[in-house]
Amino acid sequence: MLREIFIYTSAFIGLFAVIFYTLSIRGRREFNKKFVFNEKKAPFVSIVIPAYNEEKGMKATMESALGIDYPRDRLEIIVVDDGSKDRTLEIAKRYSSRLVKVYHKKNGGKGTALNYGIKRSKGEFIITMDADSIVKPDAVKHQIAKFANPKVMCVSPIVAIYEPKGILQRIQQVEYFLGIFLREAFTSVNAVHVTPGAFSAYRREFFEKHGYFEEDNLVEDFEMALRIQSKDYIIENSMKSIVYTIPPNNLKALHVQRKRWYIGLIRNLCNYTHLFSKNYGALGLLVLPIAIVTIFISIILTLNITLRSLLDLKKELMLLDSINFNFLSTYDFSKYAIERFLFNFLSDPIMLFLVLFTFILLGYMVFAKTKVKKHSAVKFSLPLFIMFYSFLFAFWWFSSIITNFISKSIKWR
Amino acid sequence: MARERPPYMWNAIIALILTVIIFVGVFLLGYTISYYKYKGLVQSQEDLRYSLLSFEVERDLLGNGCEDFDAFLFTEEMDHLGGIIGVLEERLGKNDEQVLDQKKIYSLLETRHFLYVRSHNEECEDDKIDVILFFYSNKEDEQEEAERLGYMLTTLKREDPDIMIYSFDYDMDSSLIGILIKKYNISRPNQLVINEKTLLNVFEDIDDIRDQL
Repeated sequence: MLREIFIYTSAFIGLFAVIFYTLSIRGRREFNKKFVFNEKKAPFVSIVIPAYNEEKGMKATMESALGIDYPRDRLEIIVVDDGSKDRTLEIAKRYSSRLVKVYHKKNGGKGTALNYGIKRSKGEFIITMDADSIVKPDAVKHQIAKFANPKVMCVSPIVAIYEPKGILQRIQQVEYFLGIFLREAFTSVNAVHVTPGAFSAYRREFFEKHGYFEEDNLVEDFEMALRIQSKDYIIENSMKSIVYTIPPNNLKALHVQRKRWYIGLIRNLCNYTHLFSKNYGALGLLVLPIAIVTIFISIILTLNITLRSLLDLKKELMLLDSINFNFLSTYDFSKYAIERFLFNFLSDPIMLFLVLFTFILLGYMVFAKTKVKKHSAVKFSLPLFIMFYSFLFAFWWFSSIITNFISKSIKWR
Repeated sequence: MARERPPYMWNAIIALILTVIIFVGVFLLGYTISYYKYKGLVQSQEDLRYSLLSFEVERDLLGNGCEDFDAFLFTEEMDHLGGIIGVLEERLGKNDEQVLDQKKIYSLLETRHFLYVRSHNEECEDDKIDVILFFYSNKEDEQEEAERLGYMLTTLKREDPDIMIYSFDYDMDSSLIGILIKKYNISRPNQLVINEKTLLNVFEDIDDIRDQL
């Protein structure tokens, strides 16, 4: 009974969130059309690329940065090698020019590298770019156009996975696609609380007034977003600024990444509890609370389902043992089998909610795919996501919560 | 800095109303499907009753011999109806009056078929059909054993379709069940009556049941 209550509560909250975000996103299309880049008044932009042991992706990132369509005399690219032990610095130095400045410093973490670059930059707008990202050439123009409103302190891009390979990347792809819809929905109510480090643009003025990135923070980009929100500024989203990233493709690396994100999230939220207030509109009253509740219900449900599955497996093995493991006889091949299965399935509200949410997910994917047309194969992604994501999500969160409380020192790298 | 945040309350209220409507709608859909299935079950049982009766009358009129006996004409349909009742019990509740009524009718149909097979077994010594009566219980402390026995019997039936298996709810408030329990001296739930012999054995696996046939 308790399990059913959790499932129905989760379904109710999920459905409410979907409908609320869908209603909120109406009008964004017309709103977004208002922002057009003015070539004649192009402000100076600095792209800061912090890098640590990124020899694999450095070349592609540099070429992508150099391919950005922006007036060359109003652009600079600053690479900060954060004490890499591989050929990152060597590769970056090949691109040194009037446009590209390469610095090397002792290892201190991403936050230190970002601040090092920002302090040596001269742009009115700073774009932080990850060293494993590939950006669409017109991304910067669309982002800069959104700064027309002086209250906008940050413009985030949409992030997609570059040509996903393997099961893990395909699962993450659906997650990133979900993020594309959600970020646009959050923007409509000024509730963006994460700005991706992959290619977010900031107004320099904010750094000068309210400080640079926190150097000892595991997720300095997340903290920056919360800081912008707490100072009542606006974080915008540019649906036409597409950046591709290459996520982890093995469980260990993915787990390390997620633990860093989620522990960072926990610690940062603890420092910004004042945001959970009606003074911060939808962010404080709906978006953040829904996110927290969803995480907890997800952990509890997944633990419950996993435990039940293990007990059911034990029971199933005992039953199979009683019939001498004659698997074939456990299947119903009668002419009524399909009818009975369909009745069982369609009369169960839990199954009906599952079907409903599958269609909703499909809708999110279609929405995201219309924005990210290239390099984003979607075959098999949705079924893989449905099968595995909730377990992975609950496991990462569970692991992160435990680690957060038992370990004080977790480094960026 | 004044806290100017985009308006969202109206969207939230509309979202809440729509959520409640859809949420209730999903439950209603599930219930409606169960209800229509229940209606279908009532009709199917009525049709089955008519078919059984016609079959018996035809047999009596034509005086078919032992070799023409076909008890298995209705078993697949009966199994299917039994399965539907099981799902309806889960969806509408074990104590739902309408489901209980249909369950009683189903037990009557089963018994009628069983008597028909029993009379064939009495008349045709060389062509006997193995018959198992299973008195199961859905009570919490008996459920595990009932499920295990049910699983073994279902497998037995699938491996050997010539066996007739009839299941009766030991706890059902029905005079018919009471008569069967008394007739076969059923002392506790989850007992089997195999070829008219009430067995007190504990069946560890399917071979233990097969050995009694």
